Amino acid sequence: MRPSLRNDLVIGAIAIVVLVLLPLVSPSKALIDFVIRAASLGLFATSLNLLIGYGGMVSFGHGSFFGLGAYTPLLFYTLWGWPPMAGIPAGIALSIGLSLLIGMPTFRLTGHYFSMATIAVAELIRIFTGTWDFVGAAIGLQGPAIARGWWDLTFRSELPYYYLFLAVLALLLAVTSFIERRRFGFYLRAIKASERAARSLGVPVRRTKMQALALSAAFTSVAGSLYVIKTGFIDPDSGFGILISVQMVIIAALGGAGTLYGPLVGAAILIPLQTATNTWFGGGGSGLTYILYGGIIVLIARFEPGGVFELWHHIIPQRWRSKLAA
Amino acid sequence: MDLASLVSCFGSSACLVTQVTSGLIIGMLLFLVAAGLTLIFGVLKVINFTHGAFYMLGAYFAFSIFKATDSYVIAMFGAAVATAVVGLIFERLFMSRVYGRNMLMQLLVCYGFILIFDDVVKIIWGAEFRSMGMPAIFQVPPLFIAGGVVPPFYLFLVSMTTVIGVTLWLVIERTRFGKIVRAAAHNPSMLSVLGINTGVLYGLVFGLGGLLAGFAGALAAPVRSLTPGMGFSILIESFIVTVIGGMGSIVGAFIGSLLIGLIRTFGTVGFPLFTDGLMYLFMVMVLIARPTGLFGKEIA
Repeated sequence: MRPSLRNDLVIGAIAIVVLVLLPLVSPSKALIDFVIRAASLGLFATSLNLLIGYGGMVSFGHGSFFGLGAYTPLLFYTLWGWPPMAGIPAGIALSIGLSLLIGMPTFRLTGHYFSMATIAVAELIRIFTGTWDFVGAAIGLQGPAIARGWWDLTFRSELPYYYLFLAVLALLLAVTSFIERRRFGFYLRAIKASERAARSLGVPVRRTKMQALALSAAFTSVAGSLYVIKTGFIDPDSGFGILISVQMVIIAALGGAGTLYGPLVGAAILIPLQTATNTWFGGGGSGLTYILYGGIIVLIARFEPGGVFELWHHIIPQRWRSKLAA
Repeated sequence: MDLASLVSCFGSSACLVTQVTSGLIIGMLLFLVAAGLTLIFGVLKVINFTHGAFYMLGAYFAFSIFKATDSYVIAMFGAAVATAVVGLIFERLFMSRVYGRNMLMQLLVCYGFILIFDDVVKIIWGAEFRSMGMPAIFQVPPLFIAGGVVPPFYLFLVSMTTVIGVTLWLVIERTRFGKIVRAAAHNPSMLSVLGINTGVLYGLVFGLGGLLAGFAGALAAPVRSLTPGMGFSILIESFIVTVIGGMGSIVGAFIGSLLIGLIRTFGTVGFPLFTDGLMYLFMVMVLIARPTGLFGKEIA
């Protein structure tokens, strides 16, 4: 299916206008908070989507890049008192380095073996970090408690984070949308459909996979950096933990892996579900929380196997869509 | 790191016996879970992420049946059969709808059910740790083998899992059902042309996987504490086992489970902080040497 540029642009433009104006119209803190969380998870899931959605390589170990992106800014702050922002490029460089290192051997592996290798890398890093005093061992690292200046990016208000997260997310979506239409994007989808066929038609399989992994790693690292700049704290489990990596795959798959806005839709569905089920049923994860949560996931997977974003094709009549796409 | 105690352990028969037995316990339980996982993958080409939850259900079923009947034998077989039924129903109603689709959709269905099973367990049995306690027959003084302490239940567990493993092997290798299962792993569409109802077969294979996981849970119940979510770590470990042994190979699952069991127990002696890391490191080394595991077939 060829992605329609006009549809994507229309949706994107509407979303930008609504989201930029939202804080001015409704000062509801819960709403702002929700958008920040969705953007934060959405950043991670969209970066992962580049690899699993378009390239078909399911990584359960993306926590390794998220963790590198989260640890580096706080490490720089702890060691030399640098503003956390300064660690972002170093985190990106480290993540790309790691992706090159693990890409070479793991691309020999297929399917499940590849996924397990990515878990192994992330878990080894997590265990190692948890015993290494230089990076705070099991306790982790902390960022500046009080801002020394704007460059620390530590704000009391939520609004600066709101715009910061959305701006980076918009950039990532623009890159993804650009890639979708380039030769690179077609290569990736060809590899996903059949690696052997793609290779026989002259697609440089290894190089394409490597580039996809490196790009995805770089953006995942940025997602980690932004997360830590907002929370000001990181430990091995919240950085490299396997549950985070798996949850991101779930979010991307739920919304629709391999579509531009799919991972965002997934994030937007999962966050309120988590919050709502908790408040309706007494909180604390007791009662029916996860039964409802799990049930909805199962229903989506069972009846809408392309992810929620596929619903678009059922709800909006054909005539309409062709007019939009024309 | 504590290499000195690892070396001294290898020097003492008492320590060796103790470590090897507890390695066998971990390994054999792991084998039952991993064998089901690898069997399901071999035939249906799907990864059953709910397999850890099956193990958990087996343990809780055994807990309740034991409390009700006070017979460990009934508890063990009852739990295994009940888990098998859960597996069969799960496959027929849900998993069968997402075959041949993207692997991510299978993951989603399984993830949803992991949440549901964990929550159901929390509602029925409570969120806190539960302990079944050792059945009365096994409450006898431990045996001493070459100076090492071996609780009698450990011997029972190892012999029981061996019996189950051998039975599984006989069923797969020597019976008509086993022949059909192997044929289905090879070419399911040809099988259905020959008049075998593959839908029913898939359900039975899932049920068999559930049966094995149920046995594992029931056998683990007297020696492990029960908690919702207890299936997660054994799920990850059995993934490691299937990768080491090769997806779809039951012999590979057996060798891989024993290796992981021994790595875990001797790792605790030699590298207390890095025991989990050793498992992953070993898996990485196997994958570098053989990208489809020790007994996996080359994917052409």
